[in-house]
Amino acid sequence: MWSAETKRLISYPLITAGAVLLLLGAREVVEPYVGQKAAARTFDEPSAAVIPAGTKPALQRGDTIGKLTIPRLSATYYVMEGDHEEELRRGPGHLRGSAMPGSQGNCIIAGHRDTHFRILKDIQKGDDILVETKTGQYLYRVKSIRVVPADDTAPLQPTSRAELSLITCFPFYYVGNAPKRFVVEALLAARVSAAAEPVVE
Amino acid sequence: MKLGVIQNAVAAIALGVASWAAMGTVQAQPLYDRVNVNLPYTVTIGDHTLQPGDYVIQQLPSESGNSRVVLIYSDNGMKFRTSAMSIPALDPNTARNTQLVLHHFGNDYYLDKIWIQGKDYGYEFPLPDRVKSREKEMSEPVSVAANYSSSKSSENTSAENTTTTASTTENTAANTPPPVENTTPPVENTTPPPPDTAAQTTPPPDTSAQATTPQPSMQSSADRSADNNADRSANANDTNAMPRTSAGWLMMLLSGGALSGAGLSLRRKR
Repeated sequence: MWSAETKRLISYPLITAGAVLLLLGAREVVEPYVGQKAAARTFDEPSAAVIPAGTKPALQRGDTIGKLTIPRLSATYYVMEGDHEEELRRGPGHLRGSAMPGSQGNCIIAGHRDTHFRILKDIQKGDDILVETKTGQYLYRVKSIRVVPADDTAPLQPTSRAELSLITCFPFYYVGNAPKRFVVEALLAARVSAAAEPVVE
Repeated sequence: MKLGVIQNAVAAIALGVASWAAMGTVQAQPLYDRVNVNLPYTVTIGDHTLQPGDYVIQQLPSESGNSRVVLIYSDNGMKFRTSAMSIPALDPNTARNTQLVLHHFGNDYYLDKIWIQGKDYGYEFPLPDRVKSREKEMSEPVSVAANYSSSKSSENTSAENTTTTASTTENTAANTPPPVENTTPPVENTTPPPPDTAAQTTPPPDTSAQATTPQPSMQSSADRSADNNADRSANANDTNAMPRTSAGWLMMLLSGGALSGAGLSLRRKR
């Protein structure tokens, strides 16, 4: 039907577009791993900066704000500030405007269902979630797990208690934009103030 | 000569056995926690009030070696026993520092927890009932009737003079500070002390956790009720839409593979 020349011309953009998509897909697979490694270096390196109590650290999008651990699942992730694509590609992201870990209110952390937060498919009510930031360690305990429509913003609303909401897409195995959201709600169970110690330079 | 060597050997063996036995005896003795602390505030523990100063908090011996009764005393003669709950450390590792966590309620401080450096457990002290009840009162929603007034833009800004009034309720608890916060006064050292630290420096009060980012205002009701939607939307900031939480790498790889395959197949057929 088509001449050889036409087929050849069509094949170029197809192969190019396919290669680009393959590269983009590969980046989505590789960058979560690389991003977490980089975040670990940033977060774990000893800092000479002292965070005085009661002050508000100036956080920029992409900054590593803490480390989230689910002991039962042996999962540890470094959490970024912000929930844009750039941040979520590197790790779970803390929604700007939501409470910080350990403080009163709803601390919201979102993550990709097909990378970091796929682990949430195995989380259970009563599981411990430990969040470590520069201001201390905070232990949350899962109080509920629910699935909501993607346009239901109730899980994003502030709360009076210190809560943690982990959000990802649902179903976990789904090609395309998942129609629902998987929400893990946890209550602050304990806190250990450990940060803001004077650093000897 | 030979006898001397044998005597020396026997003496060395005897010394070694004696040392091993002595070590075993020492190891068999349970170690009890002991914390020296300088309290910068007046702190309440149960029915006792500790004035600022130096104190020793010591686990009392018991048959099990797992006593939850502690003795608190100071040089000024204060001495009393109180009970504490043993609680596990949060991290799989042990506590990083020895520290006392105080419950700050109003102007009062209450001993909440003790974490001990290098130990995988701590002590938690029950709050007095009166504090618990006050805390509960603080966390309950309070509704106060308020008058809503609207004013035209051309008018003066004094709301008292406007004509339209409506009655509504306002959740005052949304603007109140959280009822409790923890602070950490300094703790000097522990028994046995860490080899490389003479004294722990003072971690400042843990108020930073509540002041790190602009957070949405707190609701008085724990549940996400529809009554507070207006309040929430005003404070939701970036949290007004669900984040996109799918990397989509599988879709990209499948699409890329399909496109590339199609292109290659076209070329192959040529």
